Amino acid sequence: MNFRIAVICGTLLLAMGGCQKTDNINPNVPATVNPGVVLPQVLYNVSNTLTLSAFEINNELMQYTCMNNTFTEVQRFKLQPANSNQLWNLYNRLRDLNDIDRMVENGTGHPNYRAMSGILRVFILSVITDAFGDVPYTEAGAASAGNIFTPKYDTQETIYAGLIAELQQYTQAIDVNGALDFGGDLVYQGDMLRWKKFGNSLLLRLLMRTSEQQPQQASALIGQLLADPAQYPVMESNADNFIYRYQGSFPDVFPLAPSYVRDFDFKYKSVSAFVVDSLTKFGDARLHQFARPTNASADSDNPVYVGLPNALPVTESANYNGGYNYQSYLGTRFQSDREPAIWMTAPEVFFLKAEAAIRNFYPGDAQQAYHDGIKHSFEYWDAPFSADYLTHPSVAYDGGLPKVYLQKYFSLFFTGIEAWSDYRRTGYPRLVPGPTNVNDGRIPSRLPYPLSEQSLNQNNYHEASQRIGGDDMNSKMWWQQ
Amino acid sequence: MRVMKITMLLTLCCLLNVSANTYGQTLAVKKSNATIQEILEDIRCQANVDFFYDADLFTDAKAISLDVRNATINQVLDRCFAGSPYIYSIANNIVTIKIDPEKQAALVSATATRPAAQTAGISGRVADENGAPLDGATVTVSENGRSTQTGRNGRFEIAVAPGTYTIRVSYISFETATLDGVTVSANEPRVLDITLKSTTDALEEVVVTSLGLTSAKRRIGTSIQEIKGEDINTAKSGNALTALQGKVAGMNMTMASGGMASSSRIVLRGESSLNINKNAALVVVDGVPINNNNGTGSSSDLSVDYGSGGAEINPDDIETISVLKGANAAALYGSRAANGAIIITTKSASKSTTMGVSVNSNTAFDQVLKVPDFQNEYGGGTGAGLTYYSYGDGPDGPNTSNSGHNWGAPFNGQRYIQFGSPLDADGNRVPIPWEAHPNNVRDFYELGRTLINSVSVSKTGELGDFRASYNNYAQTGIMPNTELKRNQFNLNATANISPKVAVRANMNYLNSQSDNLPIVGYGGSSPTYNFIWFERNADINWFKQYWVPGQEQVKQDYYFTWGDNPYFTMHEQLNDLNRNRVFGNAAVDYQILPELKAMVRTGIDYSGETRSSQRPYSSAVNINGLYRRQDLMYFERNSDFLLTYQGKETGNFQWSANMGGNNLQINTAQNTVTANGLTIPGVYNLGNASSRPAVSEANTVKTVNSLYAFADFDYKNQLFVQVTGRNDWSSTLPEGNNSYFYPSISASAILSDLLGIGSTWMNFWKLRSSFAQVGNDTDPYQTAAYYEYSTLPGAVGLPATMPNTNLKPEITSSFEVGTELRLLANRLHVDFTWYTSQSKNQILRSPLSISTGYTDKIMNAGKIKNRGWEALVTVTPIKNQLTWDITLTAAANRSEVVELADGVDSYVMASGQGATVEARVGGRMGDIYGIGLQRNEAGQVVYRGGVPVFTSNTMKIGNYNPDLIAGIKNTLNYKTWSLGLLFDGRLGGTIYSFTHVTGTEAGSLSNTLPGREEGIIGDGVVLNDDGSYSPNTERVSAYAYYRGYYRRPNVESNSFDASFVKLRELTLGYRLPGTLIQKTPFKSIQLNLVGRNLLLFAKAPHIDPETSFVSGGTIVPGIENAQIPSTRSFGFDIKLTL
Repeated sequence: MNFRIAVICGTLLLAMGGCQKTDNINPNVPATVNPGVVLPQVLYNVSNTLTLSAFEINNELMQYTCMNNTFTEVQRFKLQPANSNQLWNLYNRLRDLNDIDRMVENGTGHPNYRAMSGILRVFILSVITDAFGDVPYTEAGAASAGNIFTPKYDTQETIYAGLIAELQQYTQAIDVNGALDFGGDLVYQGDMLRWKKFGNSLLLRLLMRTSEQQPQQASALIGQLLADPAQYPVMESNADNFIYRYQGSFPDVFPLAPSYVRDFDFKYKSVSAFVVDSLTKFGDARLHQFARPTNASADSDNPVYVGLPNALPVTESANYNGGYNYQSYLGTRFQSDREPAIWMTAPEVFFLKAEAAIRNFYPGDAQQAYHDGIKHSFEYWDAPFSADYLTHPSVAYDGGLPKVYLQKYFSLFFTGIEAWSDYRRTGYPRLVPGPTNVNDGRIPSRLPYPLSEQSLNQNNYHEASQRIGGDDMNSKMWWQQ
Repeated sequence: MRVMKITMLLTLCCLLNVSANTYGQTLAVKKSNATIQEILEDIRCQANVDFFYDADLFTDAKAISLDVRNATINQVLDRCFAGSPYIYSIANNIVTIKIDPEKQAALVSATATRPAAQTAGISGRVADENGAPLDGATVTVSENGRSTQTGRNGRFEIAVAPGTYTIRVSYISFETATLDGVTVSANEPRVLDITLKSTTDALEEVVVTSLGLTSAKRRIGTSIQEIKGEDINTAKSGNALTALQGKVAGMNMTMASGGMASSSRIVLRGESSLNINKNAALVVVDGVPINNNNGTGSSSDLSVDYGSGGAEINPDDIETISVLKGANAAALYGSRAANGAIIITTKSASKSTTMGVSVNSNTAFDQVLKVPDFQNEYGGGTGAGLTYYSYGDGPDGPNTSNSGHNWGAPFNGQRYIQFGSPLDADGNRVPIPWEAHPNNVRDFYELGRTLINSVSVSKTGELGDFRASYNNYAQTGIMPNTELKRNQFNLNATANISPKVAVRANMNYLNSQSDNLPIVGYGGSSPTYNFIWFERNADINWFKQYWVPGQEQVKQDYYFTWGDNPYFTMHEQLNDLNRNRVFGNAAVDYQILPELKAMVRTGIDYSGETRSSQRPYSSAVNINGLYRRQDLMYFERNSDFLLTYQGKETGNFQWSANMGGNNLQINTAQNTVTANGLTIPGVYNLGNASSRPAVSEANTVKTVNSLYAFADFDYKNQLFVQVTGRNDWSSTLPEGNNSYFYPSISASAILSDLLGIGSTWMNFWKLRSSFAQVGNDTDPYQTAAYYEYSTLPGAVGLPATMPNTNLKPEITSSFEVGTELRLLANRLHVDFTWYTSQSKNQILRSPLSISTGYTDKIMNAGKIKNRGWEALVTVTPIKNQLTWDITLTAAANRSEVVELADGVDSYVMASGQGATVEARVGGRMGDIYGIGLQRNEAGQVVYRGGVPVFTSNTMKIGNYNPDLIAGIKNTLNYKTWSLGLLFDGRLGGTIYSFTHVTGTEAGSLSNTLPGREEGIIGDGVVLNDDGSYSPNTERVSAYAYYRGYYRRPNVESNSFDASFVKLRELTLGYRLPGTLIQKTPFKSIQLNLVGRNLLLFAKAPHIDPETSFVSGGTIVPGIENAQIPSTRSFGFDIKLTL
């Protein structure tokens, strides 16, 4: 009898123990990959962020566009938490870039991947610091490798010094003959010389940013950079542009295309009176790219372009000039699937050169650079260029910076938040905030830190807020005049 | 597979057992005053023979005493049957016993010829309503006070002188029967057949506990509440579990929506997990857990509620539902029952040997319970001071019609060109009267209809019993063109293949199908959203033709730019469901020895489901159309065994011990293919995708192996102790941490017996207490780093969540004490429990500053405390021909967030529409945070520009958990009539209403009327340049005021007290009296008029505070998001028994 019990118990126990062990290995996704499959999504995600922050923040603050409907917050300088989150979330890409670095260090992928990831990291962090000021830099992205979960905020001065040093290092490290063994370069298709040009062009942008605070150092480094094109090639034509070309097949489409932004949300923005009136006055053909004729006139023989004045009271915006049908929306190209996302283009480099020459950072031909900038910008925007344009009184080169800055402003259409950064550094173009702005007529100098930092990185947040003079939109950038 | 092997082995053992030859063996039997069955059982054990006889063969047998040693089996049986009519035969170790008619006749004549007694007598039998004899009942002759107790088989004899007597028969937990005018004449014994009715809530009630076991309720040291099937299957609801609302003390149920196939979230005793999805109770059918995950679809504009698994149980198949309230009761179900368990036992054949057939037909009509209170004085248009309206640019002015706002011109009898304008001869729209259509939203909703028909047949035979049922469920919703159909088969069978071995099986197959389920929540394709943005001057009939003529399938006819024509949504934006599901279990019980029993069982729950969603061209959010197809598979298998050893009774002490094990495997698979954009309009096929469809695939496997043991100790049937221990091995935790043990101990004492204080007013007093721990694991694949596919095809990246290679199990510890009192002849019954629980090491995604490179990491952290009480009170104020029973349930729970992860003082559990549900240290679970109104030191609202300034930081707005949940049920019975009335509700709690936010912004709600003409000066202060405050004097338009004041995300001003009371159930029943149905083939006919959710009393405006927010598979209480309105239903129910 006991034997029977033993047999049964034994059987049951065996049955329990004999079941196959289930491992906890996820069968759906890979655990190891190569840099060539990680890189594309970095380019894609940052491209989306740049485009959306141009659309939602930069274009509103810089009066490229104006809200014609009820959601008027940004142009009235009522910044929403979501505005901050969008750019702060760029930190997510450090995860991917660190991962590429780790792979290269472990022998997977050509060292050029390491240099590319370094340049991209600098680009991303420069956009973040330009939006917020003091931000985590030295301890950023170190959760995985360094177990740092509350990164300290560095001063913008430290950050810029670090970014410039990093950028010099990684740009020089590029092996122009080295092939990307795993591909993944959706921008230059593995053309490493162009990466080098991008690195140096970005360096030029960042150095110029520091030029108000550290004119001597900026002058010296810019002079060195521009003096030796063989050693430090920069972008020379639109072929060198760092732009992301969407494939045009969902989800790889321009983030403002109807698959992502509904037509009526897109049309909450009319092009600003500042842009429409200026370009109309100059006879600038880029107008027909930036804006579309009013609905009411689109099919007529005489299509007209009407810009909306900035930050009018809501009802007045909606009814301005007789309503939406009588205002110009953004150009149709910005609703197409294949409109590229702009990181940095050759026209910007030309305008930087013009500024450097005017400010005597290097012995270049400022007028030539200014004209090249304009011509390349027209070319980029598919606008027919006529030499007459350069002689228009408001355009003709006069040796001064304001016109350079104004033309740079037009060329920076949809280039992330670069126009806003330039404005904060130079004060150009002279923009007048609209009547309903809630910041006493001051265009904001920064975005507030995301709300989540207050709870997730409390001590460092408070320290930084205090240091910059308060976490509000009027605390100045270090590089600001 | 493995379990089959076990089964085979067990069967083999049985065969060996039976064929063992034990003939020459001698037996020793010593029994006094025992039943024949007891003696046979003794023989069976000693001699290894089996007995075969009719179940009721020994019903009339007298008790016998026997003392034999060294006897053969024949000698023992001969002694045993001496003086009784039984004979036996032995063949192949099977002893067949039957009655020999000759022997019986001889015995009868012997009795008959016995000389008559001098005194007369009363004899008889006392039985319960089912005919089962009651041993130990007291029979008293009122006139002389003589009394006796019934013996074996409920028989009694009492000697009295000839005369007429009143006989009282009483028995614990049965109603006392009084028989008047019992006449006894000399020499003619009077034979009485007495049936006692059990009291409504019997003390010796047996309830289903863990693992499909039953136990006398008095033994149980934890809180457990049982609901009978008939309490939930009359006033039926689409979801069998929702019928528990208001009936279970401490159950907090949140519905995903008022729609069909509605998922429900059932929380018992408060929330203990920071993972908002992990707080729901486990659902178990016949001892085996089933899948009750929410079937709420994800992704913003495809938010459809496909129903949760627990909803698919046919209420007519339910015998009882036991609710095990906390970790204490459910310690043996392990991890998944840390939040309590709902144990459903399905019906099996009743004792009847004739075939039983029952038919149940339920018809219910559903009607919208509450729609928002719209204003009817101003029409479409946006902006302050609009004095006209125009559909398109017209003679009255530029177009004002495409905003969906109602800030337009007042209805003063004027005429404007509108969407519904007829065309004149030139094809131009003509002005029509400018007037409100007050019912334009209400008229959209239709009368829903639910037909539930079920039939069951059951029979008990020699071999065993079976019950089979078929259920057909057909519902059409309140939203046009929505439906849900279900066909369901159930078979419950037992076969006693030998006296020692029984095989049981319970299988369900069902198919749920719908051609269209409604979209829930706030989004372009949701009609409830579109009705917030719906012009008050619009006639709903304008929209029934929803295509632009000549552009069918290409362009919808609607003029409000950011939403869809509601009829277009209902007829073209379809969400289809087809689910096949099988669940059930098979078990073998084997009585190895008289004191040792083994059970092996395996249960599965498998469902295969296809969902598809189609969106035509010109949908507001999918202008090029969309087609999505999802295939989901869920498979869960629980294989378990249990050995039960019944210890020998020694003195007053008895014990039993159990040991068992469980192997759980859960496999899930999900494939989703989305075609964003269609090549040819109106063709819904993945091949018609205009670009490469987005594809995702996810498969998971999880295994948990467990061993457990528990022992029960019983002293004098008055003091009980149970100890349990369980160890789990989960595949989801890393090696080293994947084995975890957790114990429990519970005790109960019947104080009324122990202290000897039982009396007529104090019938019963029990005290119980228990302590338990439950360990918990996590989802698969959390412990290693993997890449995830980028939305960009051809790319991958690390996920934003940092994995944790060193996860530990979560542990919940809980303690409870309770008491149960029955007073005043069982007229008052009180059951009260107080509990406290604490969970720690919670596995959660702790958010990180994104500057770390990650958005969150998985970690063990957090400590949550819960404490509360539950009370169940039953009163019977009237008890005669009319009986009135009142059942009151009430419960309150308080939770406290004691700690979170290091350096984290807030954990966002869920968020929606600007509000977050956050756990903050020192706060409570379910706290809602959001932005509110800025106030000065004196507490006055600060205004700027005539509208309030909002705070820049979030603040606590309220808590979604109610302070008190209560229900009161009245049942009145008079003869064959019955009336049931159930009210339930919640007191306290907060709900953030997004209907209020947007309906106010749109000017659609009635609360936006004050100040429309003259404007409003907000009550508050303005900040002066010198830092002082002065009263706000700026008058602004109503348009600016309401939109400034209630603008999103002002969570504070749009949140309301969520208290409510509902008339949950009303039933009026009539059972046809026996005299009426005697000549019909029916055994019983019961008719009921039923109503559900008939009345709602709520403080929150515009909405039913019971609905909630659905976000990507999670039901978030406390946030209302333009849900489908809840419904009131009424109808009738017919139950026929053949």
